[in-house]
Amino acid sequence: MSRSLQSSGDADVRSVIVECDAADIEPTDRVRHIDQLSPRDRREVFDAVEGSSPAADLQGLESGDVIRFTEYYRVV
Amino acid sequence: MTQSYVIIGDGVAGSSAAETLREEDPDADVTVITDEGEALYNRILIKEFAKGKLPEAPISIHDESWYEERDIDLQLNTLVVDIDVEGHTLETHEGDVHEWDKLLVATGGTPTQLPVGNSDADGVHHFWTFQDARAIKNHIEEADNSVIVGAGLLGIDLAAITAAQDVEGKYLMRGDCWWRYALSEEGAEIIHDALRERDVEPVFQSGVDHFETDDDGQVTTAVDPNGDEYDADFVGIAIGLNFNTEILQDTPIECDDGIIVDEYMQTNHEDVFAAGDITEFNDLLLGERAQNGAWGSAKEQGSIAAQNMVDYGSEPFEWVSSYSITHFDFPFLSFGHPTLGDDEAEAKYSDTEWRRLAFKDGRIVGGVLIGDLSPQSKYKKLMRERRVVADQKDILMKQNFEIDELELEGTPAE
Ligand SMILES: Cc1cc2nc3c(=O)[nH]c(=O)nc-3n(C[C@H](O)[C@H](O)[C@H](O)COP(=O)(O)OP(=O)(O)OC[C@H]3O[C@@H](n4cnc5c(N)ncnc54)[C@H](O)[C@@H]3O)c2cc1C
Repeated sequence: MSRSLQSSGDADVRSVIVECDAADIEPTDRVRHIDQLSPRDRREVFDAVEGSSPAADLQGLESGDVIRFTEYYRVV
Repeated sequence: MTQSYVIIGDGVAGSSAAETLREEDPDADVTVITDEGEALYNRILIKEFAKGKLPEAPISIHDESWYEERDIDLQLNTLVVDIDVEGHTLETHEGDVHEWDKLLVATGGTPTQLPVGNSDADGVHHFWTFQDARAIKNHIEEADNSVIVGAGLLGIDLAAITAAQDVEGKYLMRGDCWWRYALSEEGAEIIHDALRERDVEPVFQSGVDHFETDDDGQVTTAVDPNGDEYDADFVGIAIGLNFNTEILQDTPIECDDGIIVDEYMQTNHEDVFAAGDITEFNDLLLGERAQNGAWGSAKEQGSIAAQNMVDYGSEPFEWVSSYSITHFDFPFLSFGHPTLGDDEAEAKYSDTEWRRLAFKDGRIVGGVLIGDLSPQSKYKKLMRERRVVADQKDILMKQNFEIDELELEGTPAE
């Protein structure tokens, strides 16, 4: 479950979510807990992390943001 | 005429209300008053800071310039001590008086103290503010052994902090399992095993009778009601919240545990609103008065309150709250009101996969999912649509359940 996800190459894919090490989180990084995402973004992250979709179409997060779920994940 | 809005509390409810007020009423005066010394921070993530996983800076959400840019007057370190509802004023601890046309009370709660001997000893911690998290982090890094009290969603954060800092812990619970009002023993066993793997030992049918201290007043031991003693130089307590309603005493505003509001976040006075953890709101989905204690719900309530302060009746609060536990390598999600209802269904699928739904009058009103969150949006949809489904538990509990397998009558309530 806690694995890195790769881009599917799909044209609609806006982001991929990659597991990251907490030690690599910089003071300037924006970090959000899964419960702080909109219901839609939360569902996208659940699906991405649990593997039914390899990527996420996130509206409230940007590339570089970090999400705290079962692990730390970075949006790339 | 320029409206003047005053918000008490700069948690997520107060801050999101301020943001919405500025959007909805660009010319209004908006003031946010908080007794904390810092602007809105990420209360949900202070546990990660205390675990030693996150540096301080990412915990901040808004700095003071965020308020300046929106022409919102933020007053830090300012405690509101009195409200005159009829006079439309409030008073701060420094004796300053603020006038308001509409007031929002978003004052949240304060951790309940354990009513036992020496619960105010050095080394006994409660957990709500960033300052609490700093004190917890400093102390746990030096601690040898810990005791955690409070078998709920905040207690488990303290247990996880202990585990992350490699301090052996005893987690004293009054019943036979963690969060016994929402989980059965079978479901909770998944959590117990995960705690044990991290050197935190659940102790059941326990609790605290009193604490013992050394000559310097530092806690040394927790003694439970059975007389069993547990060494602890760190104690974390999370047994609930007292809601910060005392400023409304001697006012006509109706309070019970929290402040009573309708689905538009309005109190029994037309110019006074409340939002966030502090509210007892008319829950349209549950069909009765309810309280939520979650970030997303508090944020939404702040925004809904602001919309209705500008234009009453414009937008009701209708929201399925969610709360995740992210300390383990399996996901855990509770939604709605899993501790309420008159009926239930549960199923276990593997050592780390379990599910329970709570029903009221045949409708889903809450649930807990451990290990596999894939059905969460389907359950929430059925809850939002207020579908009567409790007679089809065998389908609902199928591991790969789909909504179109259910026989649904009528049209959705949405
Ligand atoms: C450690 C911890 C972990 C949590 N984890 C999660 C989680 O994983 N998921 C989730 O959804 N939720 C979580 N929560 C709950 C969530 O943080 C709260 O539901 C949410 O922050 C409530 O926001 P609020 O604005 O209603 O209240 P608060 O954030 O409590 O804000 C109220 C503010 O009002 C101020 N105030 C009170 N009285 C006065 C006064 N008289 N004058 C001036 N200011 C006053 C207080 O100091 C405070 O700053 C967690 C909470 C804690 C403490």
